[in-house]
Order: sequence, then structure tokens, then C-alpha cells
Amino acid sequence: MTQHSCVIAAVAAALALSGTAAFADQIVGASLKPLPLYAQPGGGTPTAKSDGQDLPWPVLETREEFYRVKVNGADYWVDSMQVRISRGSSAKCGPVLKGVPAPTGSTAGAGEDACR
Amino acid sequence: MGYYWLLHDNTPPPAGLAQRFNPRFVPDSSKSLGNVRFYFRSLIVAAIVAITMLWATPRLTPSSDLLTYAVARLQARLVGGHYDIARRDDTTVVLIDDASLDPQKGAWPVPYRTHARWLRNIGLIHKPRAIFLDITFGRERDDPTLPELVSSMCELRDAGVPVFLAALPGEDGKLQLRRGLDNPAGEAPCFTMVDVRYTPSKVDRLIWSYPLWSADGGARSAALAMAQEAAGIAISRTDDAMALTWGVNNLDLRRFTPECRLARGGYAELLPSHVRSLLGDAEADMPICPYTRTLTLSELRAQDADQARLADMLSGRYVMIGAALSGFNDTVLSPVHDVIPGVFMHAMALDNLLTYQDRYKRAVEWEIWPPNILWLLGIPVIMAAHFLHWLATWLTQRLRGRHTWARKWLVSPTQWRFASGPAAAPPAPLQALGSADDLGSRLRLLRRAASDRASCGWLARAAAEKLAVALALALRKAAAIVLSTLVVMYIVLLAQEFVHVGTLPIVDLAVMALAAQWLGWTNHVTRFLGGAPKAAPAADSPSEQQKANSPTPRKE
Repeated sequence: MTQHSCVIAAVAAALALSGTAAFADQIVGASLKPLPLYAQPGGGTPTAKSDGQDLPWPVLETREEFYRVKVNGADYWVDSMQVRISRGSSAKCGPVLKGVPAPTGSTAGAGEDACR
Repeated sequence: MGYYWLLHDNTPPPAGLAQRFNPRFVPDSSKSLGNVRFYFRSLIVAAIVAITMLWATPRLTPSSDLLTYAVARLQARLVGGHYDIARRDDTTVVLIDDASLDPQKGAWPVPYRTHARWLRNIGLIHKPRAIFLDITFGRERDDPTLPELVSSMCELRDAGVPVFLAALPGEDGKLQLRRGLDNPAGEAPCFTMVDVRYTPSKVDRLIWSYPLWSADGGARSAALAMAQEAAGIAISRTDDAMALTWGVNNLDLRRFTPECRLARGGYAELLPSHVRSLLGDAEADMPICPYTRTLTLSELRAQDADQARLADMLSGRYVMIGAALSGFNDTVLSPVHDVIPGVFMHAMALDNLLTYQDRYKRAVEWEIWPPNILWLLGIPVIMAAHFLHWLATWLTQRLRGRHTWARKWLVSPTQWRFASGPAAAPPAPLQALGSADDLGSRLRLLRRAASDRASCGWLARAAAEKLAVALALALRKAAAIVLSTLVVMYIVLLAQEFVHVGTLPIVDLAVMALAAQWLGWTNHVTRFLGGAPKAAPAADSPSEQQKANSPTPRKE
């Protein structure tokens, strides 16, 4: 019985670790308080706000500079510029830009979402 | 033997040749040496010649302006190296680059909602002193998120962060934005429209000046509006644009791109790039990176954010947001930094206003009757150029009268005597050739001279001597031009500390004043109008020369 318990505990621990690894990034702080919570990535009008009492929040998904998180059992999106994450930041120390865009003899067209 | 003998040491020449080898000390009557009246006459002439050239040369030969602008570019690097760095870090440029757009599916223009998000995040999180958005929202497009942009700016207004929006004039000359992007009625404005037009130089397309008020409608430029409203600087209205001083010292900044270099500025920047390469500067060919501190929008994301850096660069700073996107030509040409995104021009202009305040450098120009301030600075520059030329001549003559080495070396190359050459009598075939009358006999004598070794040797030596003299003359003139230019540039630099005038008009006049001296026009005109200077001092008389040439007894 004891042996079985140990095996079950080991498997559970392994599963837990693997789950944590899948959501390695966690939101550990908010730069803006209260932190706006959005229904969709991209911004707009926040559907809720949080004072970040129950941080950290595991990052479930990343899209368009927004993170999907679960807050009080509901899915929300938070702005990546408004939060701090657990991963050490990879601040750029090299050049700011790869290069100044060269002058062109053309007019740039609008992107696919220009008239959305 | 093809050797030449130049008297450059105290070794006496071989016996019998001493008379031939001594350099002649013929006074140069074209110099205004020792003649004070001639000097002052020529000074007045120099001023008239320089101003006439200033007016006439661009009209007669438009390309002559290129010389002025080339010198002005060097001067800009010199001035930029001495530009006060104290307010540099007050301004930060935030660039929307291609990498910043990638998470937005690379689309441009981005929805108004995204602009709203960027503004809100920078303004509410980092609390800058003011934000300027260098994106003109003039054209209408189908995007229902426009109200979010207005509300974000109103939020910033309520948070005490003023927003300045780039705008262009409409048909009535007043600044305007697209329909729907208006300040809400009945409440304090949420943003201020600012003019973002500029006029590059017609000659070299560089940005030498920055308009503060538009000539047509009196609209304020971005830098001026921020300086007045956000920095609280009182700037009285004038019709003159601001002469932009481009700062250089960016040694402690991050490199802007791999293709630019960090620099301190000053005299080292005046050296041509290939000379600096020879001196071991591997990046000599690169332009200098921009002066203002810079971030990209992508650096504000959580995974890239360095909070301490963001706080240092954004909190309490004047933030200018601009685009550096492929395919968009929002770039300007700086005389110091080459091609850079246009937002840096506004940042540099704001830095100038923060640094100089109401005593910013005026972009005045030479007109038929120029502004008094140009006279005030221009006349000393002409005097300096003239005095330098006179001083060099006077010093040369004085030294030649006093020192043996100067008598040997400070003579015009045209007066050099070589050990053998034209001074020696040409061989007989060449003499006969010179006295031949008809073409047939000349051809016959020429064939004879060509087959004569002595004649060929004499001709080769004569050609080599002429070449050496021509080379020395060219070097001497080049050295005179470079040295006098450097000194005058330094005088302009010093003068700029006290007079609020831009570099360009002064350099323009200085180049003309120097050119008048280099070409000898000043003395020619002075002699034409008022006669030649008086005879040179006694040191140039033959008896004095003889005395000067004799060895001086040395007291031990």
C-alpha cells in the first residue's frame, strides 16, 4: 500500500511539474493598478479589473501582445505591456534597430487589418 | 647625375657652386607686409569682396554653394561636439519599428485602438512629462476604434500627461486631423495639434533649420509646443526659423543601428574618414548615431522590459513616438547623422529649445541688407580670415629676416634653386633648338637633341624640378587652406557661444572671406584701387640679405 502511494505521489508530482513547465511564464506583477482585464486580445474596453491580489497567474496563451490568464475561474486577456512576468527579462543591449529603413521609390500598401 | 641640392642644412655647398645654390630672397611685393595702411585698406576690400562673392557666386555658379555646405557640415560636427549635453536625457524617442509590428500581424497602419493602447501604456504606466505622437491621422479610414484613441488621450490629460498630435494644414492653412478625431466639446482639450512640416536645404537636402511657427497660419511646431506647454519655456514669436544644432556626444548610449557609430565630436570628427581609418578607427566610414536616447515599442513588452531602464527613459521625460518602418520614407538627412527617422529632428529641436531656451540659434540668412546680428558676427570673421593671411605672411618675412633655417625653408617654392637644372646652361643641342627659325631645322635639331644623352638628362631634371615646385606649391596652398579653415571654424565656434545665430550663414561668409584670400583677390583689388604697399622692410634689401646670409657668430 505504501509502495503504491509512493508511485501515485511520484506520478502526480511528475504530472504537476510537466503542467508547470507547459505554463512556464507566470504573471507576477502589474505595472498598472487596477489591471484591466479584456475579453479579447488587442485591447478595447476592459471587461473587468483586478487589483492583482491572487497573483501569480500562469500564462495560458499568448496572442497579439496579450496573455490569456485565468482569474477567479474566468478567462481573460491582459496586456503584455501592463504586467511583469516571472521569466527574466531579455532586455536588449545591442543596437536599437537593425537599420534605418532605406528610402524607397514606392508607396507602402496597407496591411491586411488596415480597414478592420 | 640626377641629383638635386636644396639648402636645408648648414653644410656649405661644394666650392664654386655656392653662388648658384643660394636661395634668392626676393621680397614678395604682392604681400601686404609691414604696411599698416595697406593692411587696413585690404581689410575693407576683403569685406567688400567677401560679401560680393557671397551674393554673386551662388547666382553665377550654383555649385559653389556645395563648398560652403561641405565646410558647414564639418562645422556642424565641431559645434555638435561642444553642444551642452545637460538636457540630452530629458527626451526619449520611442520607435515603432518592424519588430514592434510583428505581433500585430505586421499590419500598417495599425488600428486606432493599438495607438490608444500604446499611448495609454506609456502615459499611465510611466508618467512621462509629455508625449508627442509623430503619426499624422489626416486621412480617413474605416476603423470603428477611433473613439478609443480620443478617450485614451483624455485619460492621459486627466493623468496630467499632455499629448501632442502631429497634424498637417488643410486648405484653409489651419492644422487639421481626420473627422471624428476631435477634442470633446465643452471640456479641456485632450490633445494639442502641432505642425510637423520642415524645409530641407535646397542645396544639399540636409536639415539645417527647424520652423517654430508656420509662415502661413502661425501653427506651432511639435518641439515649440512641447517646450512652451510641457516645459514652460517662454519663447517669443519671431519670423525666423530655428537653426538646428545637432548634438553629437552619444558615447554612453546604446548603439542605434549596427551601421552607425558612437562619437564624442570635436576636432577629431573633422578628419576625413579614410584618414581616421588609417589611424585605426575601424568604424570611420559609418555615420554618427542619433543623439537622443531611443527605445522601440517592443521593448515595452513584459518579456523584453527592463523596468529600471524604462523608468529612467520614460518617467518624467518628453517622449516622442515615431515610426521607422520599411517602405515608409519618414526619414530626414542630418548634417551630422546622415539618414535618420524624422522623429529625431523634432527631438533635437526640443533639445535645442530646452538648452538655449529663448536664445535659440536663429536661422537668419544673408539678404540685400542682412540682419544686424550677421554683421556683428560676420565682420569679425572676415577680419579673422584677413588677419590670418596677413599674419602668416608677416611671420614668414620676420622669420626669414632673423633665422637661417627660415631663410632656407620659408621661401616660395618658385624661388627654389636646385643643384642642376634650368639654372645651368642647357646643352648645345637644346640651345641650338631654341634659336632655330624654320620648322624643318627645328625638327632636325629636335631629333639631334633626342639622341643626345646630356640634353635628355637636362630635360628630365628640368621637368622633375618643375614637378617638385608644382607639388610644393599645391601642398603649401592646401596646408594654408586647411589651417586657415580650422582656425576660422574655431572662431565661429567660439562666437556661437555668445551670439544666437546658426552656423550656416557665418560659415557661408567665412568661406567666401577665406576664398578671397586663397585666390589672392583681396590684394589684387586693393592694389588696383589704392596702389601697391610700400617697399618691404630693410631686411629684404640686398645688403640686409647678404648680412643675413652670413654666418652669425655664436656666443658660447
